[in-house]
Amino acid sequence: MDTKSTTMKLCTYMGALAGTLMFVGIWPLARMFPPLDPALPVAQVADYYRAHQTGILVGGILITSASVLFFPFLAAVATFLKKIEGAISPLTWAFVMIFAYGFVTLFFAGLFFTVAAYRTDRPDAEIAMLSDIAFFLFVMPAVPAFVQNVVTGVAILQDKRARPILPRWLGYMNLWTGLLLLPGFAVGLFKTGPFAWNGVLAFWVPAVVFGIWFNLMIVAMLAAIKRDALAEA
Amino acid sequence: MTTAERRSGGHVPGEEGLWVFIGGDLVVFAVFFITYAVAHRQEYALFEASRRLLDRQLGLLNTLLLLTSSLCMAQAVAAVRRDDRRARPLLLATIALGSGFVVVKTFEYAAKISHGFTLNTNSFSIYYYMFTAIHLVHVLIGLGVLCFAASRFDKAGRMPGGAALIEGSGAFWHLVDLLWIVLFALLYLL
Amino acid sequence: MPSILANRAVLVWAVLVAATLLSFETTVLGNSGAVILVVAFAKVLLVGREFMELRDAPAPMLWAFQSWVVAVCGVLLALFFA
Repeated sequence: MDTKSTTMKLCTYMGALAGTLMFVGIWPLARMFPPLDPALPVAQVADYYRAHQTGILVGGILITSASVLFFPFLAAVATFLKKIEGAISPLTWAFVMIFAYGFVTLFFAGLFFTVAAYRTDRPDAEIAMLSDIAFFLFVMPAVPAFVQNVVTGVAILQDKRARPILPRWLGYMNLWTGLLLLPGFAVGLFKTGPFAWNGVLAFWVPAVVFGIWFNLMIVAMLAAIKRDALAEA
Repeated sequence: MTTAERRSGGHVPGEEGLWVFIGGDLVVFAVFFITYAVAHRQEYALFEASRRLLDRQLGLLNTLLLLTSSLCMAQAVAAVRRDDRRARPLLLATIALGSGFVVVKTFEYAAKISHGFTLNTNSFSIYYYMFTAIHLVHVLIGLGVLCFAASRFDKAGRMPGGAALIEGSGAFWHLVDLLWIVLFALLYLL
Repeated sequence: MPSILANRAVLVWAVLVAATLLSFETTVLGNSGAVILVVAFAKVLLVGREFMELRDAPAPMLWAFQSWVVAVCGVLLALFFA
């Protein structure tokens, strides 16, 4: 395949499409942005799902679809990492596995939102439990995301070429993103406060940072494709 | 800074990409500090009472340890630039003092936990543990980077690759010190 | 060989340590939280300019840092003491 291929560009743009779909799924449709308060009583959680059933069910379709549409984008990133590493490419393999792992959980998050909203006559406690599972599936990917960001950052920074395939600031940006996702690890410990799954530090900061990461990756990759970086030595 | 550098507009310690990281970290910690200040305002009495449970002496000791390690770091960078053999011992002193910080912090956490002041005790404790822990992760990363830099000295005590690595490591280490200065004031003193 | 005991870095360190001890001994500064906060950010400015060598860095970097110091200090002062 030619290095300036349209396919590479399309894959990169898929990231933007997938991100948008996911956002639309979560926010206007499923109304899960910001996430439900983990301290809400069980009856209120269940009523929320009953009241917004259609939105949540459609949102679930978008979230599950978006999770898959991210994969061409990730493949584009992996193509770059492979180019950087060359024949011996452990970090590229690590990246592919970790990211696949992280986005499958997003698929399941969409699935559990769907199941939680599917039958309105389910007992409150059951709906609340399904909701808990969905939110953890949605937020805990901070864990693989952190590792993924470190791997990507290290891979980009290890590029020894005079003109790196991907710019060095992108490597540092990945490391910074990873660090900022760390508070997401702690969500199981808290039901209120800044580190709960709807908190400033465990949700909002990672969400904003992830959005920034996405956009910067797409911009940097498109620039690299444009100057045909993949054809360089 | 050489005259040439002054004319060309300044010297970037380490490399530019690193400062993307440092700048980002400063922005995020600013968010942390402000979030804390808002919570402090909302629950003033609780935060004041809980703050008094903290061991100010240990906090002071940690601040002095980091300040002194930053001094050694600055000296080490200057020494590398003029091929001074004292660079490596200075870097090792930096690492030792930084490790001291980690040890003190561990004792501090252990003492607090054994007195029943744990992560979820109240909203102040959440901030105390989480912010100091995230800072501690930075300290550990910094120590790792410094150890890596220390391994790059040759037998004559010089750094063959030039000063960029040690400058960059130093910049990150000073960031760690800087963030602690604010955390110490916010959590222990105010 | 230049002395490692008598140079600019040591002077900066001495100022930082003195400021730290003064902030700690609240009797000296009269328990003023606002002063403690401002002193903390003055220390931050010193660390950035001197130790991180930002005073020799390209002007946009220095000014970005200094703006951060002033802005964050200002917001915190307002939230803590206003």
